Amino acid sequence: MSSQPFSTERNSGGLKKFDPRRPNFYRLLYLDVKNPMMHRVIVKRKTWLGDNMINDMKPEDVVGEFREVTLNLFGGMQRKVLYTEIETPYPDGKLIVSTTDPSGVITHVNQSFVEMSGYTEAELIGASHSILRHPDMPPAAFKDLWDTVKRGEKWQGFVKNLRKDGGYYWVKATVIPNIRKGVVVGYTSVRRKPSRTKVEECRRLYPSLF
Amino acid sequence: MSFLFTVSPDFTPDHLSGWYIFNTWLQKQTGVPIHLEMYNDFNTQREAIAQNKISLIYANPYDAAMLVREKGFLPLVKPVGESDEAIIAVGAGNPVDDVAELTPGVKVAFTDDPDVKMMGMIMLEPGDLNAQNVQSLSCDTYVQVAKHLLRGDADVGIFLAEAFDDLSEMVKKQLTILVRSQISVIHHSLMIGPGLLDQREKFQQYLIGMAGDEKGLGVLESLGFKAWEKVDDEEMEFMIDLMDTLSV
Repeated sequence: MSSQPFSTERNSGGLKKFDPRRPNFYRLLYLDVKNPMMHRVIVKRKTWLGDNMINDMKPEDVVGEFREVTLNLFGGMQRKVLYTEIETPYPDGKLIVSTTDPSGVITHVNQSFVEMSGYTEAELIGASHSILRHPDMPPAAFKDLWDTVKRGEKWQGFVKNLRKDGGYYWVKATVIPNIRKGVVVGYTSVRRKPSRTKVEECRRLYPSLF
Repeated sequence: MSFLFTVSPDFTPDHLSGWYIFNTWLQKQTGVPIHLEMYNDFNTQREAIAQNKISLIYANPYDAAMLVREKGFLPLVKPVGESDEAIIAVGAGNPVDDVAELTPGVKVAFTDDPDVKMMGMIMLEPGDLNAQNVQSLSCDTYVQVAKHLLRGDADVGIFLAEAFDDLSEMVKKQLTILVRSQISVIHHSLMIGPGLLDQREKFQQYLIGMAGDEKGLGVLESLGFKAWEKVDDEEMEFMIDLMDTLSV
């Protein structure tokens, strides 16, 4: 087995001592997800293995009566999602923050992200951001998002996100490119509590955009 | 020639003397001549920054992007366990108990503290309120914001959480908190700029070691801090990106 995914220049040094053949290798990685260097290793590892091809949702994770649909996601991926009509209200005063690499693979999440999405931090790091994609969101919204941020501009919109338990939550999302020394190294997305008026407008508008 | 050090004008008045004590300590430790200049407001301070007069600053997160991207400043340290949080409050007699119940046209009292005002306005968005549809009442201090609420001159007040918590119990009893932010990652930082950048590492070492020294600890206490912790470049860039997303 090649150890190439773990031995890039940025991850040199202490990480070389990790041997993927060791039985506790994965446990070591997932225990230390708060270490930024470990984030890179996990993302590289998952990408290498194709783990960012996010898994289908499982009925045992879902709370309440659900419907099922298969979504066509960015990059030709498909995902079976199970969704309910149960809304989780956005908590007052909090921001949901995440960072992705340039291809949309999650590299950082804050605690509010973990709580609202229902996934663990380890499940989120290295997964595609499409893990939150709700079938009621028109694909045109995400095309607009990607077209905008790839031009180096900020994108803002109202988004219905899918939870691991099949429920949903509305957010006002802002996405910006992270530019370091002139190069886009990823994207930061910050979600805040939306106004109910705007959410109602989107509830009416989005079905017409499919 | 001495280098100019300044502190974000939103510092707590009780800690004014602490900053002078800190400056004396810093000069003694580093051997670098530093003059502390306290500005009364953000505009005057920003003019001094624009004229390249400042080499060291305890900066408001709102100014961090400008300091890093336009003026070549780099982060040194931040106070351990401190973050900037905002509170939305109304007078206790106000029947509103949720921001969503507020209506356009309400009178909002705030100070010119830029990051707190920004966080406060974000917390008013769920009520469909924005800078265009509220009446603004600008105040010099958070005590004045509280007074306007108590007198009924304003419907809503935006406070720095720390300043709200420092109000007297009697005043706090007459106010109701609608929302307290829990953002955690927005903070003031001590930043070093042109003229001193080659001494960044030395400054960082003295500052991080400050809490381990009896005299240093006393100086930190006079600032209301427990210790300093290092802020690396990527953490600062992350906060700048975050502030960028919040400014729209």
